[in-house]
Amino acid sequence: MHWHQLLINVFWVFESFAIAYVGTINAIYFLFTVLGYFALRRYPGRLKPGESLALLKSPLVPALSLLAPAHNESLTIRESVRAMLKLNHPNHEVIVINDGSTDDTFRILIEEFRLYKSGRVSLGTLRTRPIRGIYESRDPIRLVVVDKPNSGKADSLNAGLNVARSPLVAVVDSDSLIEPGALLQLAQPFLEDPDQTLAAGGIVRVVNGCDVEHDQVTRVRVPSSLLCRFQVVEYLRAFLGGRIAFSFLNSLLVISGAFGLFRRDVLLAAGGFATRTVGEDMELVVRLHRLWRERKKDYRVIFVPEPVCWTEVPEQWKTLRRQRNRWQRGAFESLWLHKRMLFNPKFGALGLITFPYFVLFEMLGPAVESAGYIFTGVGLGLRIISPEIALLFFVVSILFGILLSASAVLLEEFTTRRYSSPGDVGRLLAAAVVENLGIHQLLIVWRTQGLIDGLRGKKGWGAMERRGFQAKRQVRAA
Amino acid sequence: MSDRARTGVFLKTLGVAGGYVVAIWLVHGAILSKRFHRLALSLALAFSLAQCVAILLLGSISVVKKALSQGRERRRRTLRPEILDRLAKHAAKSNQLAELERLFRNHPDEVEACLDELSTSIVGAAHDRLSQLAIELKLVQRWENQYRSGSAETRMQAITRLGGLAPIYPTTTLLRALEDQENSIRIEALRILMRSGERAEAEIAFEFALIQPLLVRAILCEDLRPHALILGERALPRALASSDARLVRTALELFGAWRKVLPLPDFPLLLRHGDPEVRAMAFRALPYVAAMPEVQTQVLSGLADKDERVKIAAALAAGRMKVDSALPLLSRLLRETRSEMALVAAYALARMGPCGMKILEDGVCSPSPVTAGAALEALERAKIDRYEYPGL
Repeated sequence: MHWHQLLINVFWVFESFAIAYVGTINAIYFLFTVLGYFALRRYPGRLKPGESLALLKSPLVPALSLLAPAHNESLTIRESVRAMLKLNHPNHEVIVINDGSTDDTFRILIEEFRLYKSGRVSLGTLRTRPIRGIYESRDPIRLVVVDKPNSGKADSLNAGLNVARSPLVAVVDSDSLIEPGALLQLAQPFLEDPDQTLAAGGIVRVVNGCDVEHDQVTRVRVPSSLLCRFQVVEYLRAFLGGRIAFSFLNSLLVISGAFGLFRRDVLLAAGGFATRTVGEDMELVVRLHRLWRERKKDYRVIFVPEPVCWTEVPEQWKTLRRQRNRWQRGAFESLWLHKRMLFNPKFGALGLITFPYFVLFEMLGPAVESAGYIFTGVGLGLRIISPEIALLFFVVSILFGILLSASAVLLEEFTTRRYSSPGDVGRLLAAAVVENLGIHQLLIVWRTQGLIDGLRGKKGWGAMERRGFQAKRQVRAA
Repeated sequence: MSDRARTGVFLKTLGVAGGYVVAIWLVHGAILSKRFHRLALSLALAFSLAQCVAILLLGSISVVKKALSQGRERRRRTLRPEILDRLAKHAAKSNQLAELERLFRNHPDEVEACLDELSTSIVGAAHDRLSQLAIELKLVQRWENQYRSGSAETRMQAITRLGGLAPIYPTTTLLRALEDQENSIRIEALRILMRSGERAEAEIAFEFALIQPLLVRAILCEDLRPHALILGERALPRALASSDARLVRTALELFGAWRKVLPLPDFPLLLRHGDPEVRAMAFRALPYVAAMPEVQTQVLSGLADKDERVKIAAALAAGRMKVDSALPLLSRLLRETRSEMALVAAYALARMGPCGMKILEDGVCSPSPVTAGAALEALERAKIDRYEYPGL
C-alpha cells in the first residue's frame, strides 16, 4: 500500500511538473513567435534595387571570403562552387576546403576550375592539421581550394580561415544554394555598424521540392515528401519565430553553419572554430557572447531574415535521426563547454535568462517531454492519473504544438511569403497538424538519445545522403 | 533598430499577450469552466480556442488580402493601357487633362502608379509636362501628406515621387527627408539633391554623407564620384582639415573610393596626423593626390612609422607609385617576422620593376619561411599580372 501510494505520488508530481514544463515551453515559443512577428515588421527590409546596384559598384563594401568545407560532395560541388562564384558581391573570393574527400570531389575541382598549386601564404595563426596544398585557378576567378586530410568541419573551417584575408568571412555548406543577393544582404549589418557587429546569420530554407535551374531556386514549392514537409514547418518555426526573437534580444546563441557571416578579426581573436564538438557553429557563437561580455564591450550578434540559403534536408528517416542526434549532441557540448555562464550575473541577461532557457528547455526539453508522454501513457493505463489530467498533458503538448506550428506557417505568409500558392500554404498547415501527431514525438525521442549520447561523450557526424540538384531537375522533367 | 522601435516591439508583444490573457479568462469564465472543473485544463483549452480563432482570423485575412490584391492587379491591368496612353499623349503636348482628371477621380492609385512609371522613363520637355500634370492633379500635396505616414515604405514612395518632379523639388519635405530615421529614405533624398548637379547641393550631400553610417556612405559613394572635382575644391579640403578625426577618416575613405586624382595642397599634413588610422588612410589615398610634393620622402617616413597599419599603407602606396627610393626599406620589411607585413612589402616590390623582382627572387631563397613564402606568392602573382594584394 505504502509503495502503491508512493508510486501514485511520484506519478502525480512528475505529471504536474511535465504539464507545467511543456505548457511553459510552448507558451515561451508562442511569445517568441509574436515577438518575432513584430520585430520582423520593424526590420528595414531588403536593399532596394538601386541600393544593391550602388553597393555592387562601391569600393567601400568590405571584401569577403566565403569558406565552404567539402567532404565527398562530388555530386554537387561543381554547381555549388559556380553558384558561389556568381554571388552578387563587389569583392568576394570563394575558399573551398577539401576535407580529405575519398570520392572525386578534389579531381572535379581541379579539372573544372583549372587549378594549380599556388604559393599563396596562410596568414592566420590558428592551429590546424597540416594542409596538403593551396590551389588557385588559372582562370580569372577568385577561387582558392585548400586540400587537407580529413579532420572534420571545424578544423577545415580553421584552415580556410588561415588562408582567408578579407575582413569578413562567410561560412557556408558547400552543398547549399545561396541566393545571388544574399551575401550583400547578410553584409548589411556590418555596414550599418562595423564596430559592434560580430556575426550575422541568414535564414536557411528547405530546397527539397523546389525548382532549381542554373544554380538558382526559380520556384519555391512545398516538397511532396511528408518527411520534408514537416521539416519545412520546423525550419519556419525555428527561424521565423525563435531566431528573430533571440536576435532582437541580442541573445542569439546559434548562427547556422550553413550560412553565417563573421568578422575575421573576431574569429581569430576568439580562436576559430572548436574542433572538440560537433556543434561548432553554436559553440562559436556562445563563445563570442562570452568573450565579448567578459571584455565588457558593446556588440551584437544578429539574425537577418531576408538573405536565404537553400539546403537539402534529409529525405530518409535514418539520416534525419543521425542529423537530430548530432544537433542535440552539439547543443549539449556547446552549452557544457560554457557552463560557467549559467546563472552567472557577470553575463547579464544572457547568463541569467537566455543560457538557462537553452539548458532547461532546449537541451533538457526533449527528455522531459518524452518522459511526460511515457508517464501519461503508463499513468492512464494504470489509472493512476485521471483522463482529465492526461487530456491536459496532450493539450499542452500536442494541441499547443499544432497551434504553434500553424502560427509559424502564418507568420511566413504575413512576412516573407516565399510559398505564394494557396495550395502550398494549405499543405504546410496540414503538415503542421500531422507533424505533432507522431513526428514531433519521434524527434524528441531522437533528441533525447542525442542528449544521452552527448553525456556519454559520443563523437562523429554520420553520413548524409545527397541527391544533388541536378538529379532533382531530371526527376522533375521525367 | 532604435530604442523607440524596440520599445514599440516589446509593448506590442505584451499587448498581444495581454489580449490573449483577457481572451483566455473570458472563454474560461463564460464557457469552459462550466464543462471542465480543473482550472489548468480549462485555461489550456481556452488558450487553444483563442489561438484557433486567431489562426482562422489571420488565415481569413490572408485569403481576403490575396483576393483584394488580385482584384487590384486585374483592375490595374485593365486600366493601365488607357492611362498610359493618355499620359503619353499628354506628355507629347496633346492636352488630356480633363480625361486624366476623370481617371484620377475614379482610380487615383492606378493613375499615380502609371505617372510614376512613365516619368522615370522620359526626359526633357515631356518630363516637365508630366511634372506639371502632377501639380495640377494635386499629387504633390498628396505625396507631401504621404511623407507624414508612419510607414517607411509609404514615406519612401512619397520622396521618390516628389524627387521625380522637374525642376528638382526643393521643398522642406525633401530636406526633412534628410533627417529621416530610415537609411533608405535619407539615401534617396541625398540622391535627389545630387541630381541637380549644382555645387551647393553636391556639397550638402557630401557633408551629410560624412556623418552617415558606412552603409549609407557605401551606397552614396558612386553617386558622389561625378562631383569629385567640385567637391575637391572646397568641401573635401574643409572636411580633411577638420579637428574631428572621425570626420577626417570618413572624408579620406570617400576620397580614396572615388579613385579620382585631385589636387589637395594640404594633404601632406594628413600623412603626419596624430591619429595613426588617419595616417594609414591618408597613405592609402596618396596615389590619388595630384602633384604631391616630396612624395618619396613622405612614403619613406610612412615606411618607418611606428604603427604597422601606417607601414602597410605606405608600402602599398610605394608599390602603386613605384617609389624607387623605398626599395631598401621594402626589402627590409620583406624580412619582417610578421607575415602580413612581409607579404605587403613583397607585393609592393613586385610592382617596382626588375629591381623589385630581383629582391623577391633573392627572398625566395631566404631561410625564413615567412620571407620565402611572401616572396614566392608575390612573384607568382606578378607573373600572371595580378598585382593587387588580395585582402583589400
